[in-house]
Amino acid sequence: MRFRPDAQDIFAGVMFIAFAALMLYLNFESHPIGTARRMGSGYMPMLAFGLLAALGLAILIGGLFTGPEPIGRFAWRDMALILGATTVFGLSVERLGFVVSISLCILIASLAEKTWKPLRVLGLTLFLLALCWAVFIWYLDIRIRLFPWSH
Amino acid sequence: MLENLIYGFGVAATFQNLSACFIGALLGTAIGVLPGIGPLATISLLLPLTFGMPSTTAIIMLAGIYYGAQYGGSTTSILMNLPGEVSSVITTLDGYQMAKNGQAGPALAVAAIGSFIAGCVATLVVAIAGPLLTAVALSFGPADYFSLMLLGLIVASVLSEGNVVKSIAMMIAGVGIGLVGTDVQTGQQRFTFDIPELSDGIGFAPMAMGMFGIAEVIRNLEMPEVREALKTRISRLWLTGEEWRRVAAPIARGTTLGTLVGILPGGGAALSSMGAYTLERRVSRNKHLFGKGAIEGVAAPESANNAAAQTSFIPLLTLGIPANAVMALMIGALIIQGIQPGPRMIEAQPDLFWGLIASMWLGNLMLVVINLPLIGMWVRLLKVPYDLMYPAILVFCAIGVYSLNNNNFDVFVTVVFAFLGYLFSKIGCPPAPMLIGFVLGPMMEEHLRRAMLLSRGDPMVFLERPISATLLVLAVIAVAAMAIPSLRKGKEEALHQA
Amino acid sequence: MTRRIALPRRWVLAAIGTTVAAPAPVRAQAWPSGPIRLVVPFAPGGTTDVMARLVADRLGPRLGTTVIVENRAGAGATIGSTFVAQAAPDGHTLVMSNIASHGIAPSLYRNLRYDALKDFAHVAMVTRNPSVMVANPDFEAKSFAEVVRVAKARPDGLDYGVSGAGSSNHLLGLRVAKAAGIRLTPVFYRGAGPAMTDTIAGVVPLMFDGLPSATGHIREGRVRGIATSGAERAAAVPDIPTFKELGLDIVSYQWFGISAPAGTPAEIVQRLNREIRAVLADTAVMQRFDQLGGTTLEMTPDQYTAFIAEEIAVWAPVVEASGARVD
Repeated sequence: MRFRPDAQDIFAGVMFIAFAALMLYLNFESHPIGTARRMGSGYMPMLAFGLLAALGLAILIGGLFTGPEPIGRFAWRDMALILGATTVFGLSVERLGFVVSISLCILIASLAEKTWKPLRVLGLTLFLLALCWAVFIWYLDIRIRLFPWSH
Repeated sequence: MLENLIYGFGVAATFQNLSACFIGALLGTAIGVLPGIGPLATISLLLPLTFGMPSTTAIIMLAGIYYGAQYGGSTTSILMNLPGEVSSVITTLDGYQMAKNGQAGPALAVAAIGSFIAGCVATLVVAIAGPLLTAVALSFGPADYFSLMLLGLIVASVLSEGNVVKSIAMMIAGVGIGLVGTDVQTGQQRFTFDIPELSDGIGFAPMAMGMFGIAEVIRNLEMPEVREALKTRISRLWLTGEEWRRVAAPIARGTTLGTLVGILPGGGAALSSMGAYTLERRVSRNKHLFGKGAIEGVAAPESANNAAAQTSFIPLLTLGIPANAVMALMIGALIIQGIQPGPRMIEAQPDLFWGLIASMWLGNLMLVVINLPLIGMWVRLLKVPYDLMYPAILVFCAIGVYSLNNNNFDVFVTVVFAFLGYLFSKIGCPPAPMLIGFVLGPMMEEHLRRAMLLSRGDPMVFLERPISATLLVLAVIAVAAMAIPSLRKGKEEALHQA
Repeated sequence: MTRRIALPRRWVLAAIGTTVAAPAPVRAQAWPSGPIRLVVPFAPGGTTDVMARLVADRLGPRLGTTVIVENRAGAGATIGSTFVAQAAPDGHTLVMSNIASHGIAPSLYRNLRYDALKDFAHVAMVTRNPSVMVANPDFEAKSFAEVVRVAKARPDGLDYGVSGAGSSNHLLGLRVAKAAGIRLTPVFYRGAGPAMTDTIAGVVPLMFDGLPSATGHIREGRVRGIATSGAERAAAVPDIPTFKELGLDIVSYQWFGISAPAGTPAEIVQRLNREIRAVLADTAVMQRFDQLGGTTLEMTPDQYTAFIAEEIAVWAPVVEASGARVD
């Protein structure tokens, strides 16, 4: 077999190994393992993450020869905006209420579009506010504060 | 039997009950379509409303919401890669691919038709064999459940296309993530980092919304071509004769499997659609299409999960025991009405029992009538410009996830899994096995440890019990069936390269 | 109150409007100035949730506002309780305090983020119910005396199914075992439902459960009632003896009441207490609770606070001995 690294597999292998190693460490630190006959709370995590580490190693080693499969480019900007919009919603929904947090979420998310059209975004925000209000508040009556000043 | 059913139709066909059934089915469809908000949240919101209703009407409506949501859930899975529950994860595998190929119409149609057929058959089974099948459910001990979950996990590892080792690793990682939370057997907090919200584990909906729905939004944003393809290549709404022929057998097999597995309390829904999908992949003549938009891959699991939704009423009706969280709410609703669910209910409340059974039929019929015309509308939804669509998806996911527990922690969990979902897509790791492992893994552990505790540490219990032994043999066969072709393929590849 | 879907919502609001309009007394202070949230720290649909909704339904009109039930489940009912402990003490946020969050959790969780006594103004007791020990009907022991005999005859003792580690029924099982001098091993389930299934199927011979959820199964013969944990026999199952009758010094109830964040003005607490007790005195409500297997119980805020302090003291040593403490 020739050395032909596959970036995807190598990354995946390293990721699985790192995750498994961290969890195994935490597991040995804090959970009694017990025996196969009397399993402690750490027994199953040990099996699962042990197996995961082994599989990660297999993927890593396999990845050295099955390439090349490059990892595609990361759309950092799109990702940051989408995840950021969702995070902002989560942070603001309880304090600032439904209307403000949804508007913020849409505003931030809309920046991911290549050409940002203010009027279109405004229209969308108003439409979605109305739709979400109708669906979630009026129809399903979920418990959520509407405005920063509402009860 | 027959007169009972006729009696039941008499009960269900009153104006009040028909409208309750219709409202339930409609509401169920609506909430099934909304990401995040599932039947559980809706039924709990609607529960107080049933205080004032006659008991039969109340339960007919709640049941309508439940199986209506099973219908609706497939819609977003197919159109937007947004599975609301485990059973819909399977539907995304081929359903979303079909939508990408411009076949959203047939995919939605076959989901509705498969669900209808399965619902009708399963309801008949509930009526005829309910009490009998209860015995089956009760004969499953912890050892048997362990073996069943093990088989399920093994089957799950071949769900996706591509690198099998990566699939298995994702599944095991899912098992590991599922272990976060309070250990059932000791009450100990595992991997919770002193965060109280983690003590009941990571929620399925935030995980699925993030890894599927929101990660898909990011992927679509970076690849405008795919969005265009989704938009422009919409063809017919209905099935061709050829497609009808292709789905007939998968619907039949899915229905059978779902009916049987649905009876088991706990895990029935997940196992049934997964089992049906894997079965089709094994037996289908179009194996090569699976994962790329095979209509069989939508027909079978959708039929199975709807059949399971109906038969999961069996433990409730015959034992007064909930098969899942939604059923627990139904029991709550009955108890509020002063009715004790259980076998006596059939004699003591014939109106309720037979009325409910009859309403399930009518409800399934209504659902088809509601859903088939809607397909045109759903498909047209794909034509909405994406810059208007994705903020809507995002907002609906966010509110839906928040409203699950009225807790913004779930929103942050969604963000984390959205990132992971995007990362996984870049390194060729399929997310579906992770979700399956996440759901089945903890159940497997729970049953394993309970079985070992009850047998005082004697592992022979797994081989001595006939059900467990049979399932383990099936698991071994599944492993062999998986390993042999890939070994052979590996050899061939090696030969080719040599 | 219910404001769930389009049509009924208006009917309900109209209904509330009329009931409020008639006896509306002149209110001394501007409370309540909006809807009141009653946080139920359990998942919706269980008996406790149902009972809370029954109270909320009738409490709203009496206060001239709506009482909205909000489920914030998780971590042994401590997540919802934490939320209310940290809420504004203005009488608009209440919690359904209960045996798990306010009786056992203080000893069970090391990292509890509230003090069950200091962080709350306890308003009123609502209801309590005994637990019951049940057995699979085919199990050889048909009475408590036989359970003791069988348990002593087997080297490993007997197993009992129970809803969760650190739950009141888990700890009750341990108390019974200790008092009777037998060995009982808890087998934990995710909730009472699956534990009951396995008891009916005979996977575990015994189970401890709250009486409300077990009554139906006992009456219909799917399980056999062995003993209840009340001070006297429960009206719902009058032929089952109590542990006390059987010579064990055990009286134990599952209970819940209503509490507000500490610092809530005393007048509001008193007013809430009066109204809640008026709701509980309503025969229709009593009958409903009776059906559900609970007994309504009237207490003043001071009595309820003292009761909770007593419960914490009772459970602390049991939790300690069980080794179930969560770190």
